[in-house]
Amino acid sequence: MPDAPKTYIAFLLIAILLPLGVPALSPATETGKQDDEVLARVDNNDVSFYQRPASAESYPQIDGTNVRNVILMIGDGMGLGQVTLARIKAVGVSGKLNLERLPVTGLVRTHSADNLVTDSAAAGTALACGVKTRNNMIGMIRDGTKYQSLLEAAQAKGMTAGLVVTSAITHATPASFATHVRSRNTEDLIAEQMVAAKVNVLLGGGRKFFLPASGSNGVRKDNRDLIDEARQAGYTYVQTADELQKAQAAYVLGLFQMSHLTTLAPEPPLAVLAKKAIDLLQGKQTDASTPAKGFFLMIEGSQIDFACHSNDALACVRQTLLFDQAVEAAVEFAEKDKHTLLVVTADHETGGLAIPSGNIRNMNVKVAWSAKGHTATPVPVYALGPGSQAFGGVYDNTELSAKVAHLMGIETWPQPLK
Amino acid sequence: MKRSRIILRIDATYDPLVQEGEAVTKGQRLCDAPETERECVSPVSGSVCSIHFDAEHHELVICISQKRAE
Repeated sequence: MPDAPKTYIAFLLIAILLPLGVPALSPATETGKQDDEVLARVDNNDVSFYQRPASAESYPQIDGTNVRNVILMIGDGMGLGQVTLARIKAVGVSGKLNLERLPVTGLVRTHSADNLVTDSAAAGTALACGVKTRNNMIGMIRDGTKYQSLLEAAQAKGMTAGLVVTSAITHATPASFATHVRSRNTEDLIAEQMVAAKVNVLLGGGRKFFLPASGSNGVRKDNRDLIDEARQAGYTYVQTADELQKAQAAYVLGLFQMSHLTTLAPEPPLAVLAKKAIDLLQGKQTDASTPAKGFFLMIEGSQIDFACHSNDALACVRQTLLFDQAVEAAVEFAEKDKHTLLVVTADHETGGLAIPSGNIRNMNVKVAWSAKGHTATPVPVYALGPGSQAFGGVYDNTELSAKVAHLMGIETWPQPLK
Repeated sequence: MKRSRIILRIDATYDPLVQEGEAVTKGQRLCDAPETERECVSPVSGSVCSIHFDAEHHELVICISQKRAE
């Protein structure tokens, strides 16, 4: 964090080396905040943007099995430790984050085809395509056979689709839903496939992978300008919060940074991106002349993982709360819509985060990290909406994919790409 | 004695087998990354001066401080 004040860096070091003494967050009680107010308050490691859930009660379950829309939310690196730490700091030990208020809970195993510890490429592929693959591979199994993703299956059914992330849009998790490559590191190729996939809404960072190396900041050696190509293919391109709010097209490409998002103002926070994506995708369903076919939307809180690789507890809390704010936006829509399945999970845990001790009165906790990499511990899953009862229990990440596919009315899953 | 620093990059998926301040010997394995075995071995003897996460490349950057006779 090159812009952070020195005092903050010093505090971070102390926080990592010593028992964490993060002051308890002041409970936010305001309601009806507008998006621009939320946006303005997201700054540095401040978590005052976070609006404490009004209740610790579970959200009421939505009955039925008629799933029209699917919102799959992935907290990259978000294990139970990350959720617990964010909860204690934001709402207290007895409170609940929004994601914890979803009525169905389960645990998901995350190993990849070749390793007990998965990376985001293999885990993303398991969630998106329902197959185990080697770490580093995206949208295909070890022998190179490509598999259809949930997003692609949704498109094949005539549904609209979107990907919203706080990393580069070419990062492993979003890539798993719309592309098929042998290596997650080929982000220029991923960008190319991403545009070709005609995903209705693509919001995140990674502009440099879309721009030619001959220009400023681009890295494409083939010197193609994929942003220009996307425009010609019908996309509205945006790169600021204002431009995004004005966008009303069937295809929107929003690249807000050259690389990953900063998750700081003036960027739109994940909740705003999520709301806008839902509006855009839902908007395409409101044409009275055609029956609504629904949408598939994947939203990722990408930088929980980044914070945990750095063993940075404060950043972990902030990123988890930004993600939870987006969960709240998704719940708000799902509760009104009644035909939306919302599944919140993680691709893997990062950092081996544990809370070995803490003070229950002032909520100061000691944070212990057992790793700087990913771990093999199962990750939580939370679900709401029609069919969400299927997500209780302990199962594999490929089964989560199959459960979503089943509820979308897809008969055979996984499915090699034709 | 002169000191020089060697920088190694490993896929951040895999937890390093060494910690900051730890002594390492030439040829010692630094991580269990199956795809990048060669990159996961210390090329020198010395001590680990830092391990930082590089979000841009999803890598852990391991700095090894090497003691060399002048």
